[in-house]
Amino acid sequence: MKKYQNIILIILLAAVVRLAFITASPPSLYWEEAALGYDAYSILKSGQDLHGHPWPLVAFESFGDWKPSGYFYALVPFIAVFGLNEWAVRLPSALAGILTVWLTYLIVKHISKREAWAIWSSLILAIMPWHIQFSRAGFEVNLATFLLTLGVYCLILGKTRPGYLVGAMAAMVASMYTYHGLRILAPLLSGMFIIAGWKIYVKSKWFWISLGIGLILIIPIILAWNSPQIQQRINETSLFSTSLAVEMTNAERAADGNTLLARIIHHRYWFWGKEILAGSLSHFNPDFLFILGDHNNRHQTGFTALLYPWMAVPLLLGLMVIIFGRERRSWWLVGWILLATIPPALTNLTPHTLRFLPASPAMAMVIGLGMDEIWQWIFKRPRTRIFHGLVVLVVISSLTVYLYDLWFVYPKRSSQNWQYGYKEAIQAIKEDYYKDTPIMFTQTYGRPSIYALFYLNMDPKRIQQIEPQLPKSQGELLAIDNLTFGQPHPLPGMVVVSDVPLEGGALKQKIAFLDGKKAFYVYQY
Amino acid sequence: MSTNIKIALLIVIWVGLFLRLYRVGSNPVSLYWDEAAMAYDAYSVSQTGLDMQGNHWIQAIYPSYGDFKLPMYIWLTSVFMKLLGPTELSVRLTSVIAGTLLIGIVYLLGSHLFKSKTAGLFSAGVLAFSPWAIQFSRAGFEANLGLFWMTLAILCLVWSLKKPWLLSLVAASAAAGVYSYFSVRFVVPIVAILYILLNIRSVDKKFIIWFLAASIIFAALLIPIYRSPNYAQSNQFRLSTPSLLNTNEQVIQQNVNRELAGNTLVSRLIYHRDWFLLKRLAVNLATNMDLRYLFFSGDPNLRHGTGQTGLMLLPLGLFFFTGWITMFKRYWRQAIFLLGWWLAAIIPASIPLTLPHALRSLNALPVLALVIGYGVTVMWQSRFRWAKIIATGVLLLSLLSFSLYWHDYWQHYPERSAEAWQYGYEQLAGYLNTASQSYQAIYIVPADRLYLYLLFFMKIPPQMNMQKASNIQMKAVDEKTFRQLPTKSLVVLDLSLYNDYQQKIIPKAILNDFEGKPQFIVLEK
Repeated sequence: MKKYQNIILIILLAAVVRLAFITASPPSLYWEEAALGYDAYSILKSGQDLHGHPWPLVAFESFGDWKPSGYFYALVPFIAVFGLNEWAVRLPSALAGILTVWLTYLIVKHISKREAWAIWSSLILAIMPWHIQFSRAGFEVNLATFLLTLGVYCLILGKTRPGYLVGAMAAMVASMYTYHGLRILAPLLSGMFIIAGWKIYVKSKWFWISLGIGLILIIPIILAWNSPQIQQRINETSLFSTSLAVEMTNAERAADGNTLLARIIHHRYWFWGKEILAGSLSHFNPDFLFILGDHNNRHQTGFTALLYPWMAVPLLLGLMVIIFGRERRSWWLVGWILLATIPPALTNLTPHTLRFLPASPAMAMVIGLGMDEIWQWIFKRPRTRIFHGLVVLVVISSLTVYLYDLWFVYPKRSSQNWQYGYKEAIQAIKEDYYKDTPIMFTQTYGRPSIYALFYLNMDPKRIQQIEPQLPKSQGELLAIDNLTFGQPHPLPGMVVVSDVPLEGGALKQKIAFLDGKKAFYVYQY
Repeated sequence: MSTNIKIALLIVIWVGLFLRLYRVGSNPVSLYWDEAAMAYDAYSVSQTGLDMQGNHWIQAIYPSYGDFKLPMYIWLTSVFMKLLGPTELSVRLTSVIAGTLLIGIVYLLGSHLFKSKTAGLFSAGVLAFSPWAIQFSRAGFEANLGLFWMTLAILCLVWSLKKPWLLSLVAASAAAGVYSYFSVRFVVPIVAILYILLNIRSVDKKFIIWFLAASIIFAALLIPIYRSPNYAQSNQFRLSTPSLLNTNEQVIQQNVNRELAGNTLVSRLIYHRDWFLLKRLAVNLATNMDLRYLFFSGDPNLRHGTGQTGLMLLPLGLFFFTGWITMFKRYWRQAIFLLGWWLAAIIPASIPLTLPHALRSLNALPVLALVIGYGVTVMWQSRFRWAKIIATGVLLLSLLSFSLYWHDYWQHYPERSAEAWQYGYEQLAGYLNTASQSYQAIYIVPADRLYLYLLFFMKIPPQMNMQKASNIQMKAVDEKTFRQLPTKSLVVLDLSLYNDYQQKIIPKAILNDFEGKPQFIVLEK
């Protein structure tokens, strides 16, 4: 038992920082989470999503944005046990986060004899703001990162025990069904391991069997590639569909007289190539990693970025040790981090905290290596205790300050970004809904209908039946029963939920964001 | 070997001179107003020994057109004005020569720091072909002259460990740098102290005496600037740009977060404004070290870069990484020295809020050249064949990348940047210079700082008020006034003013902007 004491404590720590106040910070369900929750509920009750598609395989239509199916199915058992609520929606992600911490320990322990490195790596991941943030809400990418890490662990184990290769295949394929970016990253990362260990893997029949099954299992994704299920996402976010490359290069070609040479030197592929490379490298900007993060308040607290600033030191040290030192065998950690920048680099928004998350376990292992180096180096110096104490002090104080902000202040700062207020507004009109009073609900904050489905716990079977007749924008419902979503036009007898004060009605309730700004006004006309 | 290096160095310097000097008067397409102001002051000094306001040429701060300029650039340029007459070439030649000599200095610096003439040569080559260096050497930028003196001072500094008397040259050269560009006063002392700390073991008594003497000389040489009657005003002018010193953003952040946290003692501590200020400074520093800025896009200001290339050629980015990584392993003192130099050079550029800024951070240029040059050398001299092959390939790619840059600089950059360089003012002044003799009075629509161009290109004798010296008045003439003007008058209008005439008067001449659209309309009566 003594042997496992450290890792058990770290897993407990990881669990506490991920699970404590999980429904209060982030303060409310974002609409993606509500959509994941309700569609999973729908599958549980009827075997169809809310649009009536039975058992979607590659992606759920949802708001017309076609979300990968993995998280929906992962949610089903949790909703079966806990019911349709915030806790159930967030739990799979939190558990995936905690398990990833454990996997990090297992991976390092397996590749090196250095127990201390393994402990540091898991500790670093346990307290890493980047990983905590995505473990505390229903983020598909966090579950996918867990699956990817599991896949890597099995691939490494598979070198000596080939049976694990089947597990590696299963985890990698599952990750591809869970998050868009992993459809690119999982094959790339597996490919890197397979090429590097070709001589070992190729001898085993399990390798060929799992490769074959894996290829068969991803056929649905390949077949769906040109359908809206995947193209929708590509059109919205891809660099190629949104950049100005074509216009710019055409203008310059014209200025050069459109000769063959001009066509070559002003070709859009150069432009795109540079953009992709710049986008990929932008994930290593120190201001992105250590100070600001990206500009989305849901992806980090805004007070702390992805990593604590002091982590810059062990990160660089860890990299140096991998490149020049004793851990040259662990080059694949660097490969993992570099490959993880490719999917976000293909999009139009870089650097991106969420899309880069699959690199976080590798990052933790590199930082953990650096921490271990520092720790061991202090052993060789005089006044060991003081310096060790200093390291511990830095770690604990930064974690404390971060958690204080995360648990108590961040929810107030970010409540509007998390769509705070919908739950309260739906509660406010609940009675009127059951009394069949006509209700108009503002659409200003986006996608209100999913919150009505979720918090009024509507029967999915009935929704599936009436869904074809309901007005929609893409996959988003614009009216359900006596509820209408849109710009409020009050008529006598109506209940109106507005985002701005209105004239003429009797104000029943005001709902505010957590920073005090007004979110909703509920009127009776 | 040694003669080969000498020949190669000569070639590099000559090519560097060519890249800086070739048609320097016509691209950048026009003098910017800072250049025009310095040109006229230099012309004035060369003709009369007095500046444009009639002050003696020996003064520490020139009032110029109200933005207060340091004297070194004007002094040196006045020599060329005497020799070559008042032309664009004379204004820019100072910068061209400073930029070319810098190549030689960087060679010596690289050879000394890395104990390898090859490293010096590659550093010099990188600098010679750097778009950043070329951009600022092809126009009258005081910062480029300041950079030359500063690097010369640092060269003497690294030599001074063996020959302490060189410290007196450090002081003189650094002072010359401060008289060229003010931020040098900040960079050199920091770099000097850092260098001495890093080599504290080689410091002897003689060195310390020379160092103290040099510090006193340096301080004494700067006294005239601080005691100049213009100092207070120039300081005020400099501090008036929006910067971290006069923003209150951190106070707002502090107050918002404290309020949300309930104004507890803890919240006062962790949301203190100084943290937010420090954070912002760190972000600004990171912006000036951003890879996208350094290797992909450069400064968006079209006078500071072409907008299509980074500060350094993109393929050289590879050597930037190998350079830093190997330097930290093999020459950690040099690595820390260069890192410190880089930081010291970008701190003055990180206080103002216009970011990133290639002009204010120009003092970092030799650092990048040296690191990349060292990176090339490491791979070039590697015992691995593949490293040599990659190095050769990337160098060829860099040459290709340079050709694309050079093509863009001559084919597309002039049009893109014409407005940024105030294209049109110089052309108008040139037109009036030939046309003005035959008119009694000339009325010119007031435009920002246009008079500087008229003074310089019409060779109006210094210290003469423009109205007294010539027949020119800066005055917008509308149609009604035009009809009352005496004959033999010439009127210059901009397009919007001329449109009010409703084409009742036929223009004598139309001066077009770079794209061929009418910019100035000339009417005759």
